[in-house]
Amino acid sequence: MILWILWIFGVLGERGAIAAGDPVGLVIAILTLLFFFGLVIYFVVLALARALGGPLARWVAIPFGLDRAAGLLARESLEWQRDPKGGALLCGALALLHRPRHDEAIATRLAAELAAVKDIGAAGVIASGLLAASRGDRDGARELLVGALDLEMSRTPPAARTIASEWLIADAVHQGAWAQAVKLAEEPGVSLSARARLLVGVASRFAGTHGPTDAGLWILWALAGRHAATRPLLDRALATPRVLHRRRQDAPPPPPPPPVVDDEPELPSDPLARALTLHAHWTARDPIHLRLHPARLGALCRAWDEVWQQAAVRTLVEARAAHLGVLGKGEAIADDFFAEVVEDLAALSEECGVAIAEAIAAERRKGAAATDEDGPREAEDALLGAISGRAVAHLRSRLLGEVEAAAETMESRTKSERALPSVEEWKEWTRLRQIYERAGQLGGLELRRLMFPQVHRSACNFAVWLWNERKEYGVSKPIFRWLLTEAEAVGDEQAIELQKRNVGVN
Amino acid sequence: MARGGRFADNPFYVLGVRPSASRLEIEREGQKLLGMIELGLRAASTYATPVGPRPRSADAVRGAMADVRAPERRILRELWATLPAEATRPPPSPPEGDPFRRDDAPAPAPAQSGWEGAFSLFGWRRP
Repeated sequence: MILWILWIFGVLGERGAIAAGDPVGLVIAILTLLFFFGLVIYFVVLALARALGGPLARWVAIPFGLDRAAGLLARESLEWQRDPKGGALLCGALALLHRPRHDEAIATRLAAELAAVKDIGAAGVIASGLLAASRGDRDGARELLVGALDLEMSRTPPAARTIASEWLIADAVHQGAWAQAVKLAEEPGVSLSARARLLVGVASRFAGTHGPTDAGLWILWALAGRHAATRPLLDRALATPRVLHRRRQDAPPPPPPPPVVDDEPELPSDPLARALTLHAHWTARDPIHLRLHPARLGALCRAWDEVWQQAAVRTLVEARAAHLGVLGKGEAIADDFFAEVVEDLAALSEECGVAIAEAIAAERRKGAAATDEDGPREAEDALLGAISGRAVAHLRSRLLGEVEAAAETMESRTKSERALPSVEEWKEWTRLRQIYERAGQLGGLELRRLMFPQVHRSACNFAVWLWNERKEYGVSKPIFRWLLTEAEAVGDEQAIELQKRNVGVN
Repeated sequence: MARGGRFADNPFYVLGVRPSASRLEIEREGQKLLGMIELGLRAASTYATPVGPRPRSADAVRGAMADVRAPERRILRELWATLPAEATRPPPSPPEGDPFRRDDAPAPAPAQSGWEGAFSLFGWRRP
């Protein structure tokens, strides 16, 4: 409307001025017209940038590795309106990833711009992950991108989620983690490109989950482009039989027969020799063997419990001490020996990710199944013997110490208000959460209840500081949400009330 | 301590003697091994342990001899060396396929390794 009035004013003014021969009126009329055309050009350029910025960045600037151009185009595009700064940095990082070689100067510039961003969103975290990928830090990149998918959906541009998911799918496919690739495609709010859909279709075939038919795979391949490069992958997938969904059955199928395990050692009858044989056997092997069969760890722990019960070691040590002339030190030497055993069992449990109590329970169930016993199921902790109980306590104490140290570091930084860039704050929180979750997995609910008050206090203060003082809503909101979920899991009523208020849930 | 270190670094396995060996026998075996290592004899280059063979160095031999001189420490090491070095089978080479697959997982499909071209399909450099 305003433009229309200006146009009328300009045209009429010009005609009037020309007719009247008034030079001042003529200049005003020309200036008005120039202003009008300038405005029109500005709005046309803005509209074009909004409409075409995203496609131009995606199809021109990013593939050619033009990081600055990609950033500028993305900043104005509609695609990144929820987080224009993060979107610009993400597109810059993507352009860097498209270059044939990593350019540290560009990475440093982008990292510096990222550090200056306040109230970071998912796009910024994903940009940081892509920078880590460009620098060759694949684990770091994976950690950041997975964490970014946990951020608030409302603050995450859909394009950012898609880019993160596609990178993670490519990473899973590259490693042959097919089931993981399929799972990533099921994340909410993700709209995958044709190429990613081809990878997921192929992955579902290899993972043995329900996936596309042969014709479906051909269509996905045709739509994905790069036909020469993807044809060998398609041929591999077509050569793999398709697994259909199992139909729901009224009665559960009978359990499969117990697998024949041919990697168990031959065990001597002497308790010490038996425990040492198992100890040597499983410490020499990959922890995955214990993770897949927790009963094996349970058998090892029970073997050491039996050694302790029989007191043969103490007798042996006393005899050797007397022989070597160190009378009176037998007890201490035996204690040192069992302390080393406890340390090893705790380390094995941590490495394989299986709680000792759970392993012993699995071993008991295995024994009961073999003898067709169906007695009452005892509490897992009640099954622990002297050595396995000490190993559990040792591991819990170590994990608790680790979590408390991480939480105290966070708390002391919060108290002294030592601020880090937004993305670094997110990394700090992710690190504490991972330590806590890993400890919780090994120590069970009991350890989670022990750890939670400290973690809740530190993380809540941290998140409140981020929210109130630094306006980092993107980082603090997921922390409140996680604290609420964990408070409900451990049954901490006060924490539940507090976090419900923080999250805004009644 | 590293996994299996109680066995792999045990002085009795490093020196190739049984825990019942006298102090004199241990010293003699240690000196013999040091001489053999100095001459570069292959027979002294590795030693057997319950967690598989390990490379033997002059430093490891000297460390092992020092380790068993203190009686308390020696008894502790003796307990871990109760097993003969050949008592257990060494770990086999990793089997092909997906080690994360559970035994009760349905329909064993042929194992498929990853695909090298996954990142380049999107035009990205591989990290």
